[in-house]
Amino acid sequence: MAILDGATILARISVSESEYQLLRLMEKKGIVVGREYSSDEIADMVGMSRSSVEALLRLLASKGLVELREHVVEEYVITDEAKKYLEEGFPEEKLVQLLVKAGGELSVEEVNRVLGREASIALANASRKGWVRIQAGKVVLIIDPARAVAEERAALEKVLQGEKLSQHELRMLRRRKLVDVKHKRMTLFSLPRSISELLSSVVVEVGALTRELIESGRWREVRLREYDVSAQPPKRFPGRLNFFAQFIEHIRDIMKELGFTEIEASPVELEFWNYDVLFQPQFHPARGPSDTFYLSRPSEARLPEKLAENVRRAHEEGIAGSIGWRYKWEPSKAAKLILRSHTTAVSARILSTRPSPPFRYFSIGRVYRVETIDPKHLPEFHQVDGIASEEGVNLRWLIGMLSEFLERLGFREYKFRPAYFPFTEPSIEGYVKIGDTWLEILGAGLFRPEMLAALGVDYPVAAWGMGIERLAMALYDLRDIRQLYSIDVEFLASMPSRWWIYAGTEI
Amino acid sequence: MPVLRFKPGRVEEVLGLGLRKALEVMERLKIEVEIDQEGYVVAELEVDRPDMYSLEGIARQVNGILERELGLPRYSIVDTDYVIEVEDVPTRPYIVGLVAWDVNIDEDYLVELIQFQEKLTTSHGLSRRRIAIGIHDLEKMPSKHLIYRFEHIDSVVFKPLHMDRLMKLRDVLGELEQGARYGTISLKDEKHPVLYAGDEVISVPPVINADVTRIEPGTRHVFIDITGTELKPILDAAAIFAANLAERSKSRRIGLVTVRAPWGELKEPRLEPRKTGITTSTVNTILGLNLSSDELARHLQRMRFGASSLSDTKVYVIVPRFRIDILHEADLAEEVALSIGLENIAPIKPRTMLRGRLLGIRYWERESRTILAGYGFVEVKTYTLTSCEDQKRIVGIEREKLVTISNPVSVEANCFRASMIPALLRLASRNQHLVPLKIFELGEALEREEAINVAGIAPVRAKKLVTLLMMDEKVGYEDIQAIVYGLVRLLSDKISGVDRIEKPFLIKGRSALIKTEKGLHIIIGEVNPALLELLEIKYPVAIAEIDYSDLYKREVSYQGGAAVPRP
Repeated sequence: MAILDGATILARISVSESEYQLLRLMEKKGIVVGREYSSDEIADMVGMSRSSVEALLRLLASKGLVELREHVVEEYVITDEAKKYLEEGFPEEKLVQLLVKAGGELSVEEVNRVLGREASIALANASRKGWVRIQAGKVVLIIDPARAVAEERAALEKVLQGEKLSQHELRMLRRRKLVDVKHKRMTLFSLPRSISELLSSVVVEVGALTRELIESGRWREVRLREYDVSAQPPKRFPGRLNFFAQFIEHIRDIMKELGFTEIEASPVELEFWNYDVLFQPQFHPARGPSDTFYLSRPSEARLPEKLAENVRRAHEEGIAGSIGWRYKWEPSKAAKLILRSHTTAVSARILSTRPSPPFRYFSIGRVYRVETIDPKHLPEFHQVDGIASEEGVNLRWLIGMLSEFLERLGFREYKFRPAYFPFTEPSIEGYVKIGDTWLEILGAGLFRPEMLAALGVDYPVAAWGMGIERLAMALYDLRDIRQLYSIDVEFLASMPSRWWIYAGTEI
Repeated sequence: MPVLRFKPGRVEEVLGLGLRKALEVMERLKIEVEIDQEGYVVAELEVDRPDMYSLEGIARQVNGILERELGLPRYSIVDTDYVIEVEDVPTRPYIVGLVAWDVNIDEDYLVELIQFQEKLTTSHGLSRRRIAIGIHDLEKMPSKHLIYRFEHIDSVVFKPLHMDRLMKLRDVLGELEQGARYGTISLKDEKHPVLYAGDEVISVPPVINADVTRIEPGTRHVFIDITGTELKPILDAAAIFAANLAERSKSRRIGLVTVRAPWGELKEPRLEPRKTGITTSTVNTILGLNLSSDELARHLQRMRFGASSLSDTKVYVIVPRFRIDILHEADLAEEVALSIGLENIAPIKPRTMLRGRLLGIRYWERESRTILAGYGFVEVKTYTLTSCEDQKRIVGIEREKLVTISNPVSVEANCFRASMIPALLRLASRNQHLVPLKIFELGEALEREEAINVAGIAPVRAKKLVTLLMMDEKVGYEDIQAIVYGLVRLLSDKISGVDRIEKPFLIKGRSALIKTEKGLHIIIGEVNPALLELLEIKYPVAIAEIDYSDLYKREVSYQGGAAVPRP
């Protein structure tokens, strides 16, 4: 698959793409093997910045591909005084010109006056160089003025040009403090072998495999850098379905599996369907503003007359062999609008159509109760409600159906206890064991004969309901019910899935 | 549900059992029990059994289960000279009385008796509105001749319970804690019910008794008055009180009190049991068992009913007066189940095979959610109860369209949402550190719809919504449009129309109403920066609210006001 076999590639020295490119450029520019170059020189040749060239060369050196020698060089820098002399003329040169103007001689006093502070330097150097003679208080020119050029000037020009100075010149300049000496560390690079040889002993290592590498086929010539595979990756959050919504869908699927047909109704109900039809008397403590949410707008609806009359009789006088609750039933109370307090209201609606058995219906929806929000309570939560009728529906059948439901949810330890609901008789409660605690999760029973008779239903109907939030909290190990409605998007996106719940794995 | 608290020693004493065994038996009788930090027994009872709101009532039932006593409990009912003359008391017309001898109140029982009275008047008495009970020391009664009368609150002066001074009724109602709690229940035009014994006030129901008849440790016999707005509940309460006091009394003696009222004359509590019957087949059908009439009679006796087998198919049953929960044969069937114990009733697995079905729309919902997650959106779930103010101010829902709650728990939850946009914007505001943010919610919303005038149906329109929100350094119409168009296409639907709309919460010229062939209505646009500023959102936000109610309506049919899957 590749031109080079794996072993060859491994034997080669890894270089980065930029190291490789530098070597290629150096080859192109004709770098001489064995000769030492400063990084400046190489930078100039290849047209890159010195700092990056030096960094790359050092990396190549660490891999033994180039040689490097650190050494210290002296470097001369002309002083400010020297710069001034170069521009304005050396003091001794100025003296010669002064004397020429004066006709060849001038009193010392006059020289001092004209040249000021430079006078003594001018006199000393001109005398030393044999350009003037001092006689009886007078300075006398003794050289051809055309030849009176300071030799220091040429030496300084050399420094400026970067040329090497002779020992004599150096001494001369240093004596007059015209140059400073600086020590400079310098790295010199040289190639031990020809670049083509070097290139054949390396392989380019890259971080990312790019489209360019693939398209050009160059992936064959490169080595993909090895990673620290145990390093922590960055966190990435996916688009995500809500875990609690998924749990509700799971319950839907279980109900479907058990042969139930889904139904649904508005969460705004008449008290009638929520309570009266269910034979819950109007004086029941839950039928008041401390437990039930009443609507201010809209506040009431019309009652279905015929059914309302049946319900009235069931409550006031009793029907179907019952003695009834024996109080005055108020239609106006039944007509009030509320937010349903249980999904049994939905079951009551479907039962009012007198479906023919066998049937199984369920609904899942939000229900509402006057509760202050705290870690255990919300004024709204979800319930699943199921009703069923068929040949042989009775308490034992109901316990069997509930057992099946609980087992499909994953529970193997559960129990039933007697309970009370106004609309079922007998009534039972289901408990499941999660960890060390028994959690009460469902209520069930056979609908009361009074309720069924008022609806015109003449067969037994089993019913049960379960709150979903408490179960979801237990199965997801949540301490606060509000986490099911979390507004923390990071929490929602990073919440680990408990997929085994959906598999019905034993809890 | 009523929660009662008992001293563990008293539970053992009255039930005649060790504590562990006592708790076990109580559990079988629909009582949830636990031990609190102080070691007291906390019993949570169902509301159907007020006759078990005292230990004596529980013991009566336990004695049956343990077969120490079977069948109907017997009490001695005797005549007395006590008479209550009732005048017209319009706010609280009904009163009955009873006498119980040899109750022998001690410190523990005083606490239990008050608890019994409190629980009964709270749950069944609707916090004394429906039933109020006054307990008096019989030996301190000033007279056997009682008068129940509606009096002006300035004309009544007495010493209220536990007070050491005389007070005007007006001040009792205005100054005492009980006055504040119960003082307005039966007050009308500055008049209030007052119960006199002779010419002394002994009670001002439903507020407080007078101190003169105070019960205390050492009280041997009691007189009880029960008042209310209906006759049946107070007769029920009188029966329950009489029976439970008689259970404690050595003589088991209850005295009848004559009541002469404008609404009639009676002598109660006679504790007259009700005679009824059950058919073996009915009970067996309910329970799924095959019990003989003899077995059924035995179980009912264990539950303290009078019961005897009349034939193979019939059982004669006598229901004690205090069992006000027994309305129907079905209730007796449950009593049989309790006697047997649910743990002894073997389940039957359902055998019928039925095809389960979800509403068709669920599959559209599931697909939509999956596609949106695929587009990188995180699904959120918010409350349906929300702030009316947010609905009006943020998305401009008209007041007439809002479904409002008259007794909300807070102003943050005084409306049912009509749009999910406010909740999602607030959520975005709290998650600005996570940009780019892409979130959505699928759920239900409601609008008031006065035009709906169908019997049994609330005048509201249920809306099915999917709301999407994108927030980023730079995000706009095109970004959310791309998602919406993609979603519509992936759901095998087609855009059928796009119209510019003007909504105050969206930027003009960058908002539209999109319709699809399958009936989606989609509002889409960039959120107005003035609103973003108000919500303290520093990033641009684009939103879409997809109303799929029309599609939903086509996928379901309605029966009895409930949506069911189309066949």
